[in-house]
Amino acid sequence: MKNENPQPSLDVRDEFARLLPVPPERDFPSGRQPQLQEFVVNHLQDQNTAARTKRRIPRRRFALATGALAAVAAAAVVLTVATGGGSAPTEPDADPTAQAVHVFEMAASHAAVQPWTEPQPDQWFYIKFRDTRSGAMAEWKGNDGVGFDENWYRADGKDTRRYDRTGELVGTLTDMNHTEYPWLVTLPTEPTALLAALRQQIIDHHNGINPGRPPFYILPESEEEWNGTLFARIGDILSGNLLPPALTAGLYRAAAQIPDVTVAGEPVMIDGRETTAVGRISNGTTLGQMLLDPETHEYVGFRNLAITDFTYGGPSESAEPDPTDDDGEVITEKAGELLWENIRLAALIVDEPGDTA
Amino acid sequence: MNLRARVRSGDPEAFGELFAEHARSVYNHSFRLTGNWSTAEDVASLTILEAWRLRERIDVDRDTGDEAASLRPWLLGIATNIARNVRRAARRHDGALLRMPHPETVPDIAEDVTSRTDDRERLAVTMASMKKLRKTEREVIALVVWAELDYTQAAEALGVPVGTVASRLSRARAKLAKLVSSGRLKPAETKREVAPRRGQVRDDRDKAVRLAQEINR
Repeated sequence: MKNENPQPSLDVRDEFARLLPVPPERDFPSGRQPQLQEFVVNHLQDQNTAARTKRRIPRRRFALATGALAAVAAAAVVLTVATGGGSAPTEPDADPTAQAVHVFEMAASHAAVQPWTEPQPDQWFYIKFRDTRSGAMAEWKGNDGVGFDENWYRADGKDTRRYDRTGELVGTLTDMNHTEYPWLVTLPTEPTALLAALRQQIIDHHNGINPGRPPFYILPESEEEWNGTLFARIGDILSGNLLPPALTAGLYRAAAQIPDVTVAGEPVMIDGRETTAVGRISNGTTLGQMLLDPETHEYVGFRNLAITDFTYGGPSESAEPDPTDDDGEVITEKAGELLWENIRLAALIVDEPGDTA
Repeated sequence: MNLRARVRSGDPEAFGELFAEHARSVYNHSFRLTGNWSTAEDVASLTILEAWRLRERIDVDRDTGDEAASLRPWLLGIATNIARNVRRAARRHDGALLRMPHPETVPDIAEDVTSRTDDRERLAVTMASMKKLRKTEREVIALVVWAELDYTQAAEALGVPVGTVASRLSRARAKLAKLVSSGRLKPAETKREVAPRRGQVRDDRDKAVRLAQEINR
């Protein structure tokens, strides 16, 4: 090691200060730092717990040329590569995009006529999920496996509860993005206006204005990215909330307006029952599918599949070569891998946190 | 066990302490690289999540004294990497980010703005000038000049040789000097006050610079 003086002389900083005004420092917005700190600690504790309790799940792979993907027209290029030839959709006369519009319209018209009693402000939404992660990234992060999530969100948006590691029901900040019910019910139910409002909320969030509490989304940079983000956003809202019938219907109809959404040619089996998968391909690499019950037309879950081999942090994400990806690790997801599956097991209005009926 | 060892061993509470200690520094550093305060918040949180992922790389034996033991340079390095490609870092931690809480209040951007035009202008000039530099040059300025790391710390943070830090810095300085002399960049005025440095007592500049976040995007 050369013995050079590692400390820049004060002159260097002073010289820069003459050339370039020193930007003033500021604190986090009021209350934000402890909030983020609690979030981070909770999240890492969950990671620890997950690592200790995770069960190995059998690797589920989906053959590319059959099953879930066969009728995804947008994946035609991938299919051609994978099968070495043209692959006919299962129903040659049906346009998968038109089918998607039809599936969403069925879901919307059923949702619109469901009975609904507005919750009292001090009542709670109880939402339970089963969350399954697999694939190379999940393994690398150590969060692969199956987990169950039970959450209670107060209808006035002012409180949340979940079980901590010791089994105690505690308030938590980590799920606050689902306590947006009071904001959601202010949304227009007309699908075009609804899409515009969801889009605006993401823009506002990016600009530091936070009506409601949107989940974290990177600001999309193209219409294609917007379409993917809005499709995922609608999936998040439907999954994490119980909403008035007109709004639920509006969300399905808004999803139907998003381009390039298609219906899988074959039903997806979830816990022994068939579901209809309506999906959209992002980045040419992953297929996000909303799963709906073909008979009741209710929301069942959401899942993500890799439709082609891809690596994280590759050239598609950044035009510049990136010297920071120096981990020596390249994480590659394999085509057909189920990356994430989130199935809603319960969603109802209860009187007290902890109630499940 | 000291904080460094606890962080390395994966104690979540230690990461809370790490965040409490360095969040402000990481937040401001991230803003200087991204030009957006919301993004800077996200980068600050992602930095701790990335630190968790990379914790086993911490060299516990380096714990030789206060400043040497500080994990601040390491965190600033992680934040620098994330700021280069927030999108990619977000993808790595997608599950966490979906659960990230969002601020309670709508910031009142009109508040106290007029009396702070100095700060706003100062920031606007700085961010505009920074855009004329390469990303790697901006990073060394942010680390060495503003976050006050020494060359060795900055080199470690960036994963480059010490000489590279020095040469990037001197190239950046030459470019800025040229911009000033050609009249394309107004030199910073003579300092009317001590430049805000790390450890400065909190003042009320914060709100004033909020509006400035729009200038760099």
